[in-house]
Amino acid sequence: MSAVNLTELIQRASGGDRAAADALFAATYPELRRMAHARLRGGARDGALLDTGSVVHESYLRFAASGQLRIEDRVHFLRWAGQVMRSVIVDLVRRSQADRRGGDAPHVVLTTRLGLSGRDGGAEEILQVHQALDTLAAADARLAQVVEMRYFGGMTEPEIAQALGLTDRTVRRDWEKARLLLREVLR
Amino acid sequence: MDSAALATLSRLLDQALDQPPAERTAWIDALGPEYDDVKPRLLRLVSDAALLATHGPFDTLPKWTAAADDPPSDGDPQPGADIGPYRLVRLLGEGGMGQVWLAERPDGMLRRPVALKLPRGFWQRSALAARIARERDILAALSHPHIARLYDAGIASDGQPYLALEYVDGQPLDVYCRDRALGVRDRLALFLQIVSAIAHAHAQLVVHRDLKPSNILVTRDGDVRLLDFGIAKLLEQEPAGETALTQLSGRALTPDYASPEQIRGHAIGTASDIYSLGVVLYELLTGVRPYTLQRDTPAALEEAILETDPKRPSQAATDAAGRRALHGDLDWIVLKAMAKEPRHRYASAAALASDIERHLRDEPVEAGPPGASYRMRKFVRRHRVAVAAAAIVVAALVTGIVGTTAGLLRARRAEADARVSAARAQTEARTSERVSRFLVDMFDLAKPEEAGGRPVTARDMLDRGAARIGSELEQQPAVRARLRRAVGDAYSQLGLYPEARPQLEQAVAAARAAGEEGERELVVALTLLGQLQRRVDDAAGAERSLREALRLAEHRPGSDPDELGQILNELALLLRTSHPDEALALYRRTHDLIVAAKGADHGDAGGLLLNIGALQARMRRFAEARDTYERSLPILTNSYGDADPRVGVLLGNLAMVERMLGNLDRALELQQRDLAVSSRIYAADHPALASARINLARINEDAGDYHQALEQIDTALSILRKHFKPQHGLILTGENTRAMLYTKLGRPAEARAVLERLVGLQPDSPEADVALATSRIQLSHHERWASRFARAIALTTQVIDSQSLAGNKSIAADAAWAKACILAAQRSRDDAERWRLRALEIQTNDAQATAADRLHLHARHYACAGDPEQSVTLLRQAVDAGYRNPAIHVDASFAAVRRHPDFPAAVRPIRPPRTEPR
Repeated sequence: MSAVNLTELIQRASGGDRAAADALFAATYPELRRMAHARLRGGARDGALLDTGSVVHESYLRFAASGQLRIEDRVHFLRWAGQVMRSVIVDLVRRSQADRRGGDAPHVVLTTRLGLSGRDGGAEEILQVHQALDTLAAADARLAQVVEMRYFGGMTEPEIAQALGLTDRTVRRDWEKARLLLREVLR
Repeated sequence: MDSAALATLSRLLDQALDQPPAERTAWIDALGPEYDDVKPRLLRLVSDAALLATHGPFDTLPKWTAAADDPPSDGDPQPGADIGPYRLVRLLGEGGMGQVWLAERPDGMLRRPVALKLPRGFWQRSALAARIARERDILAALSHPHIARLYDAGIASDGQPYLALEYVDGQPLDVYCRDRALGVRDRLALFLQIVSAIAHAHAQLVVHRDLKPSNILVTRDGDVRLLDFGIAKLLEQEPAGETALTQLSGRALTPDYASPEQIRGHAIGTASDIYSLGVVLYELLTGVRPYTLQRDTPAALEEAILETDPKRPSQAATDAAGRRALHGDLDWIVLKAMAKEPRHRYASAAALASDIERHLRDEPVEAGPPGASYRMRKFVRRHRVAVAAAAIVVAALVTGIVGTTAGLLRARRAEADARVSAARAQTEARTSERVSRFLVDMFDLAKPEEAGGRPVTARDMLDRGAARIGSELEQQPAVRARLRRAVGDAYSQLGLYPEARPQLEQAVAAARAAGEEGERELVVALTLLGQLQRRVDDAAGAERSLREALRLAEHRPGSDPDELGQILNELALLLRTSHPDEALALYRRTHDLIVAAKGADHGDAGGLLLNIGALQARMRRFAEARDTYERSLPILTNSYGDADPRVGVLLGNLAMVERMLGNLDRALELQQRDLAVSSRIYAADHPALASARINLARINEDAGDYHQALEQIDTALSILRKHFKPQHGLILTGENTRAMLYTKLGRPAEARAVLERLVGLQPDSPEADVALATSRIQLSHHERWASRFARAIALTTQVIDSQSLAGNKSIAADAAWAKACILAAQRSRDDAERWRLRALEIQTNDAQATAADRLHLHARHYACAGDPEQSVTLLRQAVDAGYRNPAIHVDASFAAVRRHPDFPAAVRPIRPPRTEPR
């Protein structure tokens, strides 16, 4: 990957420049995806948890180490990383679904979330949350962003608060609301 | 559930969660009947809320079974995969924005291969689907031998958007020409194919938006095919509701071929494609791109596109033969297509094609500085260097179309010219002829050798031109007027107001001297002069000029309604503060004019209503302002969509008006809508979101919801601190509100800490001055409560004695009141009485105060004077007049009044504030 100046892209994207946002996506997606995939292969394979938060942070360190990102851009990076991570996860999950369509033995993962169970409740949940987020985003963009950062990006509430310029309490409250509303959308 | 229902649910949920857990169910039950269908949902959510605290769903990403293949190096599609109805055959190319595959339809519906584009990016896929559905048919209708067809576009079941385009087996334009070492004429022939395709698309109102050699393929037979027509727009994230051809474009990331307006993010149209065609032609003829850069960064390139003139193609050409071939016509054709200002480019793709054809037939071409006469063009051929430097200004002079903010007026001037009577037209033509001749001479003056070898700047040309108008045109006042006006306007646009003013004044004088012949010019010159005077704060002069312009324009038959509208609007702007009633009448006339010319539903009419509403609100005619805003809202949303800054501003303004009218629930709803709209338009830390939150906090505060208000203020401040220095007026206002909220919440220590920090700051603007005065007054109350009377008095005295605040009535009244309170606490009863009366006097004389405010102040006066009986009577009247501030339940001044038996009945409509922490 050529060394794209992520700092500049983040600045422009945060100023509403859509082309820069897309370029930022294109520049960060492969790295996040590669790392997520490596985690999955290295033990998170068969239904283990993928700690997306550490993927996000490690990728930030790599970008910073290669000079593509300044240290002080961490919080700005986090604001965008949730969206990229969402795409990475959704693509990985879709891929696993498509893969198993080819006649794989049913693989049961027990889960109590959402009452989704069966072949792969986790994958189902992820895809459903992914779709519900679009609806949520249209109703309240900030709630959707908090979900993206928290659920897909694995970030902590204080991190999200810092990245979005909100108080911890607001983020906690947003998250509480978002979970309730997501459940409602998915019901 | 759709997002509108979800938004309602979200809002109610917020409020429900604000209630103590035990009271939530009752609160929901008490909601009005309009919420009947959401109540069950809300009840369920609230009961779930308790559960979530311990083990919530979505807390972590769930496990899932990863794909079996090992290692899947990446998740990109593989050959043989199905995307929608297509099966992938082979990867044709890949870029940052996605991949392009050769694909076919396995169902046999269409055997021909397609180029399948699989874009990636941050789209909201549901919005993309809607846009694709809307645009697909338009684009699919583009049928031209040189345009690659869009067969299909859609979203595959897994959410991947795809675009199926005609598969073209060819080489990119630049590669094709290079491989075959084509000569200039062959290259032009290829280019004409491209232009004909663009002309066809423009006729269908489709703009390409992303024209570049890699999007232009040439087949083995030498046939050009344009790819990706309109696709750039299709894939752009756009706010809902914008229509084709009018929407703002996102900036191109690699802007080599992007037009200046595209880079600025302005609305783009067919002229933008003309510009890109110019760049393509430039590169096609010279083999290099137009701008050579010091630094190779996108920012440097953007700067070059916006600011600098490219080298002429003949100078850029690498060999002598090329230089000779390009010198002359082709230089000018390319530079005309690439003009910075859209209106200086070719009016259409067809016009560009005609000029190239004329060149191929060795006929004279149209290109040259836009709008110039034949003689001018000849001249230009002799002195290109000088001309290039000042082409834009000169073009503006020649045509008399000198764009300023007054776009309304200028755009129509050509049309207005066409409408004047035949006799007038002849006079006009004679004047124009003379103007042209004069300008030709001006070019001669601008020859580099006459300028001592240094580059000739626009400013130089103006200075020289201005000097010559005086010496040579004594006998031709109409010509002189027009030239003075044009030079003055050009200075004005360069921001050189001191230079502009005498030119415009002399234009006015010359136009007067020209008599009937100069009538129209007089109106134009007076309008420009008035505008200039307003900008340099010469209000009296501006008013004189504009009123005369108005009188003349009104009595002149065949006046352009836009011209009149422009004058009225300028005048209204000028009179807004000093003569609001007249400004309002002027706005109304402007509105009527726009309605007559463009219809009541036109966006401009809606925008003007927004201005009118703002003025009415400023005049505290809130009910009228509300009606005006309500009229404007549907017009603006229909014209610009929901996610438009104007709509946001309107919602916020309307919220404030509803707040002033005491309709706090409605105000809250509107303000939240504003916030939602603004959140869609702006980044999360944009100052616009901060002001929306500050307004929200004000409403929360009025409603007695201090906790919520504090939270909004904190968020707003954290945004503002990123953008402004600590003593910025907005930040100080926010901090003051924060301190006030702490006080109201019974947290004086925190309030004091904020205020002590504020009063240590140095104000550096009038707003900061006012805000810091408020801080001092607040702090003086705290000092009084702590019995530190000397400091309390000192703080109020500082405000009362301040020269810079002398005209501010509400500050003066607050300071007087604070001082009265301190004196009362010190038992100086007579002095206290004196300052109380002074506060009352200032406030009751304040034209801004409402009846409710005044009655409340009188009530407070009697409360402090020890007459609770009289106080409670006045308070009841204040409440009847609309006073709704919940502070009445906590305000220390009213402590004795609150014990009066009639108090509860008097303030019944005012809910006590909620002060227990959540």
